[in-house]
Amino acid sequence: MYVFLERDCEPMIFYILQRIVRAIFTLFIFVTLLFFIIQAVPGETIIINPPRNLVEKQPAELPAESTPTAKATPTQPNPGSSENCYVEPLPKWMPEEDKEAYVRDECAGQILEGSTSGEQTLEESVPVEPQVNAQQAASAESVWSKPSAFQQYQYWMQSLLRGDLGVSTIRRRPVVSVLIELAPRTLLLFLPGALIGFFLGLRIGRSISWKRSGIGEFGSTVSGVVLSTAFPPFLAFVMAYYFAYRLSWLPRENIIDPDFWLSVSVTPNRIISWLLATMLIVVLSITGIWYATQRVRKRRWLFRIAGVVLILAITFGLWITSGYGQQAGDILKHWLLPLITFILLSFGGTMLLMRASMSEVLQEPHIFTAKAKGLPDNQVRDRHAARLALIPVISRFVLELPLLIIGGFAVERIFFWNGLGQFLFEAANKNDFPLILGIVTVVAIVILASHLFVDILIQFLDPRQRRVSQAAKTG
Amino acid sequence: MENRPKRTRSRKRKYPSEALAEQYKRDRKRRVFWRYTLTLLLRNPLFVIGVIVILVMIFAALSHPLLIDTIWDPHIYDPRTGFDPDMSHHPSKPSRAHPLGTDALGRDVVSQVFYAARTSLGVGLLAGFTALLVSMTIGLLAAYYGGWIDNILMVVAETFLLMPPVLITLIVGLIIPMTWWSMGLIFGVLSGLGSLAITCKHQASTIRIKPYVAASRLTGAGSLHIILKHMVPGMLSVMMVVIMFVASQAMMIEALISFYQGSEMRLSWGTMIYFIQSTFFLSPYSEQWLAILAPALAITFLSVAFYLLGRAMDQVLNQQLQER
Repeated sequence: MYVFLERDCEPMIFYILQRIVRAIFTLFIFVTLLFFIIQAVPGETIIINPPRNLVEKQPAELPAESTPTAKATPTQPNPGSSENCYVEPLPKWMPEEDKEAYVRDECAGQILEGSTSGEQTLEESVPVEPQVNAQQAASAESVWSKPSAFQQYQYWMQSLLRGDLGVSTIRRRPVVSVLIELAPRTLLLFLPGALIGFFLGLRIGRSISWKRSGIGEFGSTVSGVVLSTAFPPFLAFVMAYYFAYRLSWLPRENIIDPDFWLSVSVTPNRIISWLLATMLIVVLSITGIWYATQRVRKRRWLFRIAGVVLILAITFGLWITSGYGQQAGDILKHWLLPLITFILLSFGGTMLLMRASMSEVLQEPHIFTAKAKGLPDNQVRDRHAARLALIPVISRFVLELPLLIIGGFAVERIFFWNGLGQFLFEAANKNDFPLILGIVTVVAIVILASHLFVDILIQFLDPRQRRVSQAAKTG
Repeated sequence: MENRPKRTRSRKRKYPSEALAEQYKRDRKRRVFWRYTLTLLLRNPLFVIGVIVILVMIFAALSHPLLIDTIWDPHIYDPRTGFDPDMSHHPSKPSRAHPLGTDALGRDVVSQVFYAARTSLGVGLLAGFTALLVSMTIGLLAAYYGGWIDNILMVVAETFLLMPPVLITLIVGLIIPMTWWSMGLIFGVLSGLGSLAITCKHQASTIRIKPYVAASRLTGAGSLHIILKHMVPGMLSVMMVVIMFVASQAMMIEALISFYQGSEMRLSWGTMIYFIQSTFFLSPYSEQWLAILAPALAITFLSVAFYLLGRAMDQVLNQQLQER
């Protein structure tokens, strides 16, 4: 008989390294697959242009105005015909007069957008894409030939390695800058929503399966099932109807109310980033206080409440004295309704799973032993049962993360919260493939990272899952 | 009276041959197993509720053409083009002729809900079936043959794990107008290639190392025989549970796509909710809570029904497998 010992486990670091290498390999395969999918898109073929810095090395073969990436050539003011603006490469078969008309319309539209849009003043100023003479873009197509598939693959990989995802056709900016602009808003909604929903589900599911009261169990099960299978736009609509339309407590849509933002020079994105940082600091320090007062025997709750109040007071004081308190409050007011809707959507599934897995764990012998030893109830519940019951819940949570992300996107769309989800729908409606690909890549990386994180976390949570080294297996 | 011959019929049934006798006994055992499982399932309240809801949905979907042919006048009750000239205003409150009222274009809401049931059911069932087929193929091949086939298939599965079917189907559905069956196929293939294939492979590899598989191979059974007769039945229970979740997700995504597309290409519950929501605040008559609740509750109920079926099968079949 072989006795299993702790030293027979492989060192954790080997497993983590192996897992990371595998994740990178998977990402490589995913990117390659994405390339083939782009090639297979029916209708208008998407042609991947060489990365911008590559063009500067190569132009010797081609005449100056026939460079494949028209956007890379520097601006030359041409007062005569059309203005300076960015025009996508047009297909060869397009008649000349159509091309000219298209270029004229595009330029007129862009000039209108550029001069009147209020977004430029509100949003971060980003480096503007080098612009090109419209006529050059039109004439470039007549000489320009399509690169071969292998060359396109090469360009695709090179540009991805440089962090270049192309140019969004609806925003007319590099996709990466659009994503950097949108990500904090989505994070502000998604991170607190998913975390609060997860912990709420854990707590409720744990206490339900521990107490096993009839009516409470039934009610929470039914509400959990209904909430987790509710149609997200409908739930959002009901919330908006009561809290925004009937009671008019909270604003219905948008991120900000422009009235508060006329006199300040700071952008909403910056405030959102600061808010995210504040939340992170507050949560971390409260957790720190919780663990620091673990050893205090007498009046522990007093220390804890005092610490939390102190932290909150400092936070509010800093925000109010910073001069942007009103703006932050404006954002938070718009944020509350989508957040509550998102929490309602997300917590039901976790609650049901936690309940089921906790009831299974409670029947195992080690719980009986722990109770027989005379341990206090909450210690049996938290240390012996909940820790083991957590594992399937976490792995399931990560597997269902895409569904949660889609739910968040739907909520964003309903409340006009201008994040990734809102723009995903807009990009899909207007066939903006670079932006769609960017968002898909971001979601893929998030999923990959969460799988990686959970695989490593489970190794720490469950000693039984630790990988046994080769010696232990054979011996 | 006394000398009536006693009944001497032997309890033993007569079989044509020994081999056939074995065959019959095995068949009978299997039949009893499935009958017993079915009895357990029918005693499970979750399963019964789920089956009833799905049967009601199927009944609604099938009865729509019959109702149009018999009771309902197609000019008034057609789900796309119907219009009721007798009502004073549209959208109208519930009335005797229209139990849930009419929408802003004067179309009957009940008729639309019934008609749209076939889209959601079709997408859900087709996606579930496709996912089952694809994931079983990949998982069984990977688990049975192992080696480099296993490696390649698992790399493919891990790659498709990064392409969540919910996201990809949503995007493709928003870009290209799709019919319900193409949507179900795409969703099923994507989810079957991703996490389901990994689940399936793990399940199959636990069965592969069982002694009866080795015994079967020793008696000279071919690989196809082992896969079909020994591995597939053992996996089916676990897979059915996951398939139910796939079906409910596919149905939900179809509703989301038709909600956000706002097109009338397929009339679906999502389209109905979108249309009624967009005309909700137009007039005092148009606050149609009943009309908007019907499709929303239909989506929730069908989703819950798939979920309950999955849970019930999980409970019953797992217990059965442990007993066997």
